[in-house]
Amino acid sequence: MDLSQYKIMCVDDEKDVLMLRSDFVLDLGFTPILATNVEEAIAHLNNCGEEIIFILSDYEMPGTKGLEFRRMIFDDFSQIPFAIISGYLTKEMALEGIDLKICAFLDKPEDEEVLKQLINKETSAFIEEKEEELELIEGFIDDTKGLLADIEEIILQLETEPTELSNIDDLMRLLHTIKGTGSCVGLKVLSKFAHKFEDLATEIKKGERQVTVDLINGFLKAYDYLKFLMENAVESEKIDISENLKLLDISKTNNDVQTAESLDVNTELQASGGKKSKDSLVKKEEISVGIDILDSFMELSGNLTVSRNTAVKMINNIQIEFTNNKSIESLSTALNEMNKVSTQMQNLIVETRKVSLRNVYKPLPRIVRDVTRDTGKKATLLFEGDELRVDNSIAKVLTNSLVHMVRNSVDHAIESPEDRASGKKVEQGKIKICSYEEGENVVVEVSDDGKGISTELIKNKLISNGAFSEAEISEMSKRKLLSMIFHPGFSTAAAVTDISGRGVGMDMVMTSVKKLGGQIITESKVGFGTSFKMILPKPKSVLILDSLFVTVSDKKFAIPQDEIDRVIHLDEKVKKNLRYANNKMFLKYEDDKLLPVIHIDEILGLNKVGKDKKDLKNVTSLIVLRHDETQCVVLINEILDVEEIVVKKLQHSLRDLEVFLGVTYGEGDDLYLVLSTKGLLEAAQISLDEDTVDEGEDEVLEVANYTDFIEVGLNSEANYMLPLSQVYSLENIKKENIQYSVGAPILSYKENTLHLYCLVDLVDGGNGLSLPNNLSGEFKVIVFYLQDIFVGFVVPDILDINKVYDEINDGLSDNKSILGAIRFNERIINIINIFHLFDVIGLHRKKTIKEAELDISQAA
Amino acid sequence: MFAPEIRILVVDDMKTMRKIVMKSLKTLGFSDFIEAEDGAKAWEQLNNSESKVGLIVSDWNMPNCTGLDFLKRVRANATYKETPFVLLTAESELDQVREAVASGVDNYIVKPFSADILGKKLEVAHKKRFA
Repeated sequence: MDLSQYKIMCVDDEKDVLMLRSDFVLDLGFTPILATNVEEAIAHLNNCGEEIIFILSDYEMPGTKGLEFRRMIFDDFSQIPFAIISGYLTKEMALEGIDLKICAFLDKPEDEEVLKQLINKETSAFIEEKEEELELIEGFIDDTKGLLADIEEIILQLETEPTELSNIDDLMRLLHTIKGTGSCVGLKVLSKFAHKFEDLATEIKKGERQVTVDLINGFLKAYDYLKFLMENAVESEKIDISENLKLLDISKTNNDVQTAESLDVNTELQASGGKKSKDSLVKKEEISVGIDILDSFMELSGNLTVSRNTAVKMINNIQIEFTNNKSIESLSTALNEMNKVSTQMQNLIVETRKVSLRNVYKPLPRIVRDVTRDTGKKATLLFEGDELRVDNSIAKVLTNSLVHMVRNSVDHAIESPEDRASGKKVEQGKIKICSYEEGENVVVEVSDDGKGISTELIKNKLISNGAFSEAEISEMSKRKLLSMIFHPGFSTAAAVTDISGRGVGMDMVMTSVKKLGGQIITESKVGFGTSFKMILPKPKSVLILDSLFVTVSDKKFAIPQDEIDRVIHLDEKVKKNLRYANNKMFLKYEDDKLLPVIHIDEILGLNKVGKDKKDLKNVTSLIVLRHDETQCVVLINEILDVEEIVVKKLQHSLRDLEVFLGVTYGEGDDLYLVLSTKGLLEAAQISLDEDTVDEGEDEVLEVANYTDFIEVGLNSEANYMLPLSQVYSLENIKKENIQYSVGAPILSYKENTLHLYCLVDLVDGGNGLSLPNNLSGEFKVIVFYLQDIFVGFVVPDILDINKVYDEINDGLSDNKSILGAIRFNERIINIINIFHLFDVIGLHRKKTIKEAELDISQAA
Repeated sequence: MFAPEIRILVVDDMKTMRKIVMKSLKTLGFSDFIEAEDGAKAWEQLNNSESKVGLIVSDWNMPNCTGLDFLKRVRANATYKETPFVLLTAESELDQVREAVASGVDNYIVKPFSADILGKKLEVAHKKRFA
């Protein structure tokens, strides 16, 4: 409890005494108010009397005495407990004291313990009541948060359907609730404002005024102010809002809101299926839990997993040592049970942290509306996949970022209606926010069909900014140039408008996305539009990684396998490929690339290894690491072992060490640090944006987006591919591990079940449950993770992974399992419609991103 | 006046409001409460209550099933047609108060209110029904 909001006034003519009292009051946690005479004291009371909870006054003061002071203020402030400190006490004083409700006469010098108990006794009831009031106000604000957002939505709805009276009814009811409850928790100012707001709505209901543009604008301004009052509920009680009440004086005569056809904004909540249900206003019985508690939960559950895995590992070892020991077997069973429960609990914790994207996106329609209005443009905002629920940390980044991005899209990307018309586009621009899950990431794509980003403009801007030299700029790839719009201080707006164009927003967007470990991929085509793909990794309580153990300078480290491109044994031939430039070491790799060599020992301040060519004697291997598109090489003394490890986050005090992902327990009780490629690259100051290879990519991006496909060999007659983006993993599975459950082949996989299907059979229209008879001992499976279920497609062979730039020619096949065909390297390849296959095996598709892309490209 | 041990049903769509009402009722000596967030839920509560509800304090303006809808159902029910029903309202609804009284509300309380006022209003409602 914060006591400092409560004030105790001390009155004494001796300044030294006052200072002592002040310290005493501060020690108790309250705020002291000091007065050296009665006039000063009265001034304080008039100023902030309602915050003073106790008055401690000297008796003998020049001029007005303590009791006289109490009498002077008795009419207005008799409710404040009043104690007098005096060197003496007469019968008359005591009698008058009773009359004036003096709570105590204290001897001078006062006994601090006695005074402390007195203050406690006299103020506790009052403080308790105040705290209860505050709690009620907090509860009220919490209760009304949802209602507030609904108010904004209804006002926007009213704009599109000005004659729909149910909107007015809803608006009136919400304002009424805020007014009524607000007044009951003691928020008079808020209640007054809501009341006038409600009156205005009532006039429409009664037919006394029409829904006009001015009215909607007024409503929205009033809504903003109402929100402000709610957010500052307690402070607002002290302000004079008579000026702000004028927001609600709106002239009745005005042209009506334009008819639906010429409206600038309409929001289609496609995914929600049209009409929103009204019972969204009724909430289930809930309690609110602080995010910090959920964060701790997440971390604790991670720790639990780590201990659990250690225990499981140990029991396995013990079992090998003592076979057929009943107690050990029961212990193992109990541990397995615990294992299951802890997994379930972890899933629940993850679920608890999730919020609906629909709530995150709620403020966006208003932004589109306001910006289109201010700029005279026309734009529709579309959502897809907004029923998705995402972790709170992701929601927070999206909340802050999308406001900027959507505002930018309307302001910079969408052309004026005239320009669009002359460019043979529909006048109404389109901004689309597509949300879906892809493996371990949440992906949010903001795309528009506006004018696209001209790299020429970016170049000019960069040159005029002076941030880069012309030579540097001419070397930049298209991707790099596009990424510059996220550079601090960059703004392509020809004129800085009121709405955006200060170049602050996009910089902040990138920073917050990167902080989550995410990235933004920008693609743009001049004249056709721009898309920002935000890839945000789902937070994990525990990281389980296949890792390679290595030693560097006699220290053992783990390197995540998926960051390793290649391990190269250092022989004489390889040594020739090590080059030096500017005193730095590079590796000539795959004939055409020079990869920078990072010296882990140097970054970590260990003994230097392999600094010069001569020193390479202890180096046995090179490892090529990759993070996104950036590669680098590290020098390794010894390669040890590959192991699946559980990575535990570093302690809070060490989290700034980004070179490490975390720590892991190895053999015995030793701790090993896990290296992060991203961290190493950053530490070595190798730019992550720069592409090491960049041939031909420019032109390619110019033409079309590419998609990664896996090519599979199904039968000899035709070639088949399926999109890589949907794939969770590629696995080699041993035939003997397959089990059958109700006739369906399954196997245990990642502490879960993998359901196997025969891809050939599915494509041919079968149910996929009978696996080919000719399966060899080990066969290939493409694994998907859908709605918490692992599904594996058994394929005869995986041939290749290809980037395909061509568009799919659909309608070429009457087989629903085939989405269409593409031409690739002079061959015709069938694209498998995996969503159809998911439907066939009873999994409803979660995302329709391909369709979304098609949609956008058709619109363009 | 109502006996302090009666069960009271408090209906309001705002949790905070229900808390305030129950707090005031507590200072008046009552202690057995059940709550509901709209008329439909209130009707359920009424029918599921293991002991008979002796007093209903309900808001008027609620989503789904309003106070008036709820009142009509209560008055049409054999068990509860005589149960005192007190309406919570804000001053602008005084038009509705007439309608409510005509439909069988025993008394109304204007927000904001103090425990004192609530007590007095309940006393009047009690007299109306039982005196």
